[in-house]
Amino acid sequence: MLAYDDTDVISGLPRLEELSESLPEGVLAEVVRELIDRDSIDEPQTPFQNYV
Amino acid sequence: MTRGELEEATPFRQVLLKVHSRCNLSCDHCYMYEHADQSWRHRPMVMSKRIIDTTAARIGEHAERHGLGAVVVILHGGEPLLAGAHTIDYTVRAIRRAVPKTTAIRYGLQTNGLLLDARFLDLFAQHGIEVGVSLDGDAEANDRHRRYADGRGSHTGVVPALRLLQSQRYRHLYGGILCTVDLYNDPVDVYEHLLGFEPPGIDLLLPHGNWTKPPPGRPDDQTQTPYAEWLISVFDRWINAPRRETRIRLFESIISLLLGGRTTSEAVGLGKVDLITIETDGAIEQGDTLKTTAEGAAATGLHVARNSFDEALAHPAIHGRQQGIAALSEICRRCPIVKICGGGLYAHRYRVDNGFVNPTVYSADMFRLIRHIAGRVALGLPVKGPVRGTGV
Repeated sequence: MLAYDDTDVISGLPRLEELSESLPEGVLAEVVRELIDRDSIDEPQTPFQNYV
Repeated sequence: MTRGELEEATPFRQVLLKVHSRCNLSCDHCYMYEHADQSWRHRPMVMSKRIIDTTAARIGEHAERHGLGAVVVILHGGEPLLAGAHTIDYTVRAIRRAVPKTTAIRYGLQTNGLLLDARFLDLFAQHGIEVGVSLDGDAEANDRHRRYADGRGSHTGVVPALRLLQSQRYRHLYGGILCTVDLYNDPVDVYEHLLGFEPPGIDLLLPHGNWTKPPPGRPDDQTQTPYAEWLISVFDRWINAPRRETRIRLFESIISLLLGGRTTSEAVGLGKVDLITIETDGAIEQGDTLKTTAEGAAATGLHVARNSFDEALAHPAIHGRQQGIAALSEICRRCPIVKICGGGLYAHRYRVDNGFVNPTVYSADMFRLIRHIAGRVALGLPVKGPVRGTGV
């Protein structure tokens, strides 16, 4: 059986919509900015993974 | 399925076309040829013009019926370039003619790269076909699995294709590199070798396996997580770089899901399946990674000449895969990270005695990886409340 402790870290994470400003620099911030800006209408829900 | 249920079904937005059913390589980890399903032996090698036209009409019918703003068409195989430039050109034109002008079409093609040359790329540039190339690392890493039937490695033959895609002339067609994880390979060496080809994205795929036929090196002991450790090494190298050197879809999907966004990979998250596969003979099938589980596991019994894509939506297996969390195993439904893991890739949940109502065989690895990424995200972003036990 897996240990399910420490998952409070996950529940404490902010939502994308709460992260519009004041992101620090770095790879994570770059990824988050792109996620915020993404227009996902008409995108597949489960993009095929054997294709990049 | 009732009419109401059909109205609520998620339409197919991805169509995987098997334009050629054979390959010029004989990789020992291939899900098409080396696993349970051997249906490729009985199919035509190339998709005929008649099947292409009928498939194109079905895509157009579905796009119109559901008012789709966009559809993704993936040219796949086997090795799709074996179908030849003429068949690929014919396929793309047929689909464009059949699909309403209001529906954007994004074309992608996944290849082993061995036949990819300027002639193909000029054709792809005409049609805006994005190309993904499969490579598992340097020559030693890649050639352990990706070999010709006579045992020769393929790395040397793939490099020229990647150099072409790196060039200014074709860079806009470069989708990225697909890499299957092998625990024998050093993760950071693999990542840095792939970076040398400047891919806009890297897809790290876990080797196919399930509870009946476990993946290589995946122990029964659920406290051991060798695949998570491999992926975490790459994640740390990637996330701690001074700039984003490439996209890594698995990691970015997990970050997105952790922050309440959506996935960009079928391997994680609770998105409803919206992919349909058309084989070279016109058979309508589910995602073909199911071929790793059992003979005929991906089959629906439907065919483009007789059945619409809406009839495929009503197929019990596809309908079941649109039920989100309700379709998962009890263990998954109780798991605190179910919205991120999503039960893992569907094919990896299989067990011969009860089918797919199980966690992924990589459950322990996914749990460890997601906790690690969550910890790193928590350190890098403003977090509500105190952070403890990040698992980093």
